[in-house]
Amino acid sequence: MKKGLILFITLVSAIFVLGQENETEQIIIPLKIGFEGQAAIADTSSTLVVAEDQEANLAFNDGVEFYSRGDYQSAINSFNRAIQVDPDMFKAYYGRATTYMQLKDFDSAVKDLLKYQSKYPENAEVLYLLGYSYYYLNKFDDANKYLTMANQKGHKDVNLYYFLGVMNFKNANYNDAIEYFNEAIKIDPNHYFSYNDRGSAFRMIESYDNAISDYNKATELNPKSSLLYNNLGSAKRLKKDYDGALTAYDEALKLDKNNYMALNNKGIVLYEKGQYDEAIQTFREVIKLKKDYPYAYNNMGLCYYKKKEYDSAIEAYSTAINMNPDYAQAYIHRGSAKEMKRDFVGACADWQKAKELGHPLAEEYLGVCTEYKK
Amino acid sequence: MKKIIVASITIALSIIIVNVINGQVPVEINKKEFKISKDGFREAMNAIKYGDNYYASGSAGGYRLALTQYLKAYEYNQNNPELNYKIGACYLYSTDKSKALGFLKKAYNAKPGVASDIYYLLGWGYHINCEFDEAINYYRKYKNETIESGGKKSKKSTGPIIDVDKKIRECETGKNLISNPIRVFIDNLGPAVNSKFPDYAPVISTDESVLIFTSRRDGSTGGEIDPNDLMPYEDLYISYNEDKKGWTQAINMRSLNTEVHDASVGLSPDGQILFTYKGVPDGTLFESFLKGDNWSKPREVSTINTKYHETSASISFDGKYLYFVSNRPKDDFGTPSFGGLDIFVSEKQKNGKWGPAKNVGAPINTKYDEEGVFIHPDGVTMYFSSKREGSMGGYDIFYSENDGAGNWKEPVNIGYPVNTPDDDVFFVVAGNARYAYYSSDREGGYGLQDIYRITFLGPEKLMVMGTEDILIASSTETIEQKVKHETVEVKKVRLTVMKGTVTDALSGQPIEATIEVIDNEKNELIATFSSNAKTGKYLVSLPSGKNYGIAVKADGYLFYSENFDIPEATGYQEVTKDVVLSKVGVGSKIVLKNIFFDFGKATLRETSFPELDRLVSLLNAYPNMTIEIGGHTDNVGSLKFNTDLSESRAKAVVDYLIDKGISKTRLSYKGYAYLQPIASNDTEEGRQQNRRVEFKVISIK
Repeated sequence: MKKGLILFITLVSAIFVLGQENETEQIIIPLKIGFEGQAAIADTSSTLVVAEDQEANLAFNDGVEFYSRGDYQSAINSFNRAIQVDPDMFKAYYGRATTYMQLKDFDSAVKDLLKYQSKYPENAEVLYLLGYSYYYLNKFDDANKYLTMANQKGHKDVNLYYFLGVMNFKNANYNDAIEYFNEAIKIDPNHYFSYNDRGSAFRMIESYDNAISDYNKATELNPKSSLLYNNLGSAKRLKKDYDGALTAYDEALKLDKNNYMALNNKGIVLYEKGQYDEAIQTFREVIKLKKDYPYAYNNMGLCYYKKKEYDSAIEAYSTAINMNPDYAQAYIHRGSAKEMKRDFVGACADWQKAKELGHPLAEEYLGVCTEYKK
Repeated sequence: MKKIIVASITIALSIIIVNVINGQVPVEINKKEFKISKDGFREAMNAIKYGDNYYASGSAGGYRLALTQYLKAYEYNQNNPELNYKIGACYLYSTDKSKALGFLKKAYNAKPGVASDIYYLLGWGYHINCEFDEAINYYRKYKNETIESGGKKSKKSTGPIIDVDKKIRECETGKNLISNPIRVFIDNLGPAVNSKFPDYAPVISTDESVLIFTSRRDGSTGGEIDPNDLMPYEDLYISYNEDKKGWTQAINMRSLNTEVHDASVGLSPDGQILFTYKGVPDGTLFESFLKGDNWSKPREVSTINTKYHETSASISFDGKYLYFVSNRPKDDFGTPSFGGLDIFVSEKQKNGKWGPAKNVGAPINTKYDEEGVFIHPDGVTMYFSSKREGSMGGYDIFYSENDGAGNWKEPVNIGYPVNTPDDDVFFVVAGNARYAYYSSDREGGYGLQDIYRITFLGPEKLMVMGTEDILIASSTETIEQKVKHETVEVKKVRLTVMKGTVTDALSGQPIEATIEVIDNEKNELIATFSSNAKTGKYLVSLPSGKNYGIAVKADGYLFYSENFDIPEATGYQEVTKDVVLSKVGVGSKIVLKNIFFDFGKATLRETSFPELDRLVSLLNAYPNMTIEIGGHTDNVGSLKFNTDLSESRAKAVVDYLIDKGISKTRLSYKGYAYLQPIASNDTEEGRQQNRRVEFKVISIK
């Protein structure tokens, strides 16, 4: 393995993709991949007929070249040719996998990575990439398995720690998650993903001051992300710093006026501040952004309830329930509004439905209903 | 006149009398200053003269009468500070207290030194109107500038000594309670019950089918007017709501009412025993029993009354304990009272008389007055009114629960808007604890005090805003805000009310029967009730957590028995059970529902003995009667097995009877196995009914 022949390509690309419809932004974690070309003949410009066994190497090298230029489709074609000539050229599978990853075709990436891994089971980086790919395939158990293996094999990478943090977060091990995010930040003090997610872990353990501090840092590092400001706002809202929350949500909406989650959250803050009319107006705007959003209707119902406008509340809850017939909490709410209208039979029917949907408090509310069961 | 004042027993009002006697400050209206024109001056001065006379009486009625006179004078001169002061004082010391504030403010603005207690009355006026900060402000002024300065600023006199600090604490409590109101509906019972006159002191049967209350409406017995306040004397009225469709027109309970004051204080949960109060001779409790549709002539509650004041009374669900209010200085065990009115309890003796009275003690009783006791048929909750610490003004309604070992927990203020800064007394709660009744002179009624029904909605149900955030920056997966489902303490009533009618099997006529409730485990008679002779109706309260045996007996009839297993966790329920009794005659039979055997065996359990002993007494009452005991089973198992089992079980019953001295010759037994089912064997419930022991009359010579 000659040093000079080693290709080392590092690609850093942060891609911000606005999702389909008016979905919220998805931030793909920047993928940092280094891969090695193995002892390939460098003479790619030669027009001499190369030996049969050089054919695959040449195609591979072309693939690497295209990859480095960002021409991923051509890179795939080259790697395909290499594999066609030499189906046992494992590094070509590897190269193709990383290319698929750039194209976010994680299913294909996983197939190639597994092929490579069958030959080189000890390769920590491949284990990491498998974890990464599975993560984006939402196969979190597999992701967790490979990421943990990569960690055990001594792979050191900011994203490895980051993903391990995420895995622990998803399993509600928030304190372990925080430890991994700490490691990631040690490696890369500008890793705003880790700041955001550590902030979220703090939020989940109700350590709101720490959460706010992390979200603040994340927004400093990436001031263009609506998502990060929304999270900052929610942490402030949970800390009951309603004015601070409003400022953050407004910033989130300035960056992405279609961020319906931030707008819905803003409505909640207005509700908490007792500004029910403004809150109702806000939820109406949420519905304009996302017309089948049961939360917005539910929340609007709560505002009407507070205003003692029970008919409007019932109507809003009913819309929420039509959109999501399993929305147990909305049944609880509608029951309460009916109760205030002295429609005890209706209220009890709603609480009964909430009970069937597994709402933990419905049984207790049904205690008064014996006299209305006829 | 003396007699009349003593007889003025509207309890809410009599309380005020005490206040006033300590409280009144002499204030004179200066004739010269009052005169603004010739026209009407003489009439106005006359009104003031009469008004002053009534005012001097210091009774609530007096203040009300004074008020009518003063208001006439007010027509003539609306700006005289003394007159405004007196009108304000009259309102505060009688009814319509909330109207006082405007007059007092006017008096004070025109003449800050109008009376030595003006700060106090202003404080009280604001207090009544729930303007607590202003109230505290004036109470403080009264304390600092009137009482403590020794009247230096007010040359006329020092204001009366009043525990202003307590009043200030009441205002603080009021601020707290009003910012956390309890969720209730408060509904006027309507014109069938309420009148433009004061209607108050409601008492109910625990199923809310009977309401008895006190009213001072026209048409009172004797037709006389109480010269003390020019209103008709108190009479008792009754209304019914059997089918839950609305209260019937209230009617005067003529047989109980007298030409003086007669007030309602308590009704047993089954609506059969009524406790009333008369001011004569010295604050005395009476009881009356419903026999058929007639209430018995009220008689003094034996051994409870003393030369002191006994006011309200409430009987426990089993009829064993009587809780009542008295201002006696010590109880029958020598324990000194806590001060003012206290709550006492007495246990029924074997001879049917009430035993020695015992002070229920701390934390119920305090140095302040406790009044209007009501013991809930759940057997563990006591409601009462008190001026204790933690009241938001005057009497507030509190409740306390017994821990089962006889200790009462720290009383809890029931909260605003049921409690107000004014006196809130006489509060009774239905068996399900969802409804309560009380009187109030809130706005929107039919005039003065009216009777209202309170519906408790319980704490606010959980409200959760729908929200989600993308908490993981590298995913679009939204994460919902987790909600902590904190349960709030909801008072659960664990009580079964069993009600129905007892009738003759053949004629269908109602029967006055005795209903015995037995604790099967302890083999103890818990309570004895009777059904109404006229209607056959009965009502029995059974707190959860026991296995009850119920036996319905009447002379000349075979008894009927029922078994109720009510687990601890059972909430409130009403069970309707109409009982049909068969006359003792050849061929008549009864199912013995309180006979228990070990599983699959013929061994009688001890819990069967009360039922068997009833059988023994029946056989003793009819010495010539011969009977057959029949054993029956469900259809589980072979006929052979079931025949043997049913026969040996029947024999076990016969053996018990022989053991108790019944002649062998009068007894026969037979095992019917599953050949005579009385219910379907397809359900567990049906099978349970089929597993039974029957008693059949073979002959009566």
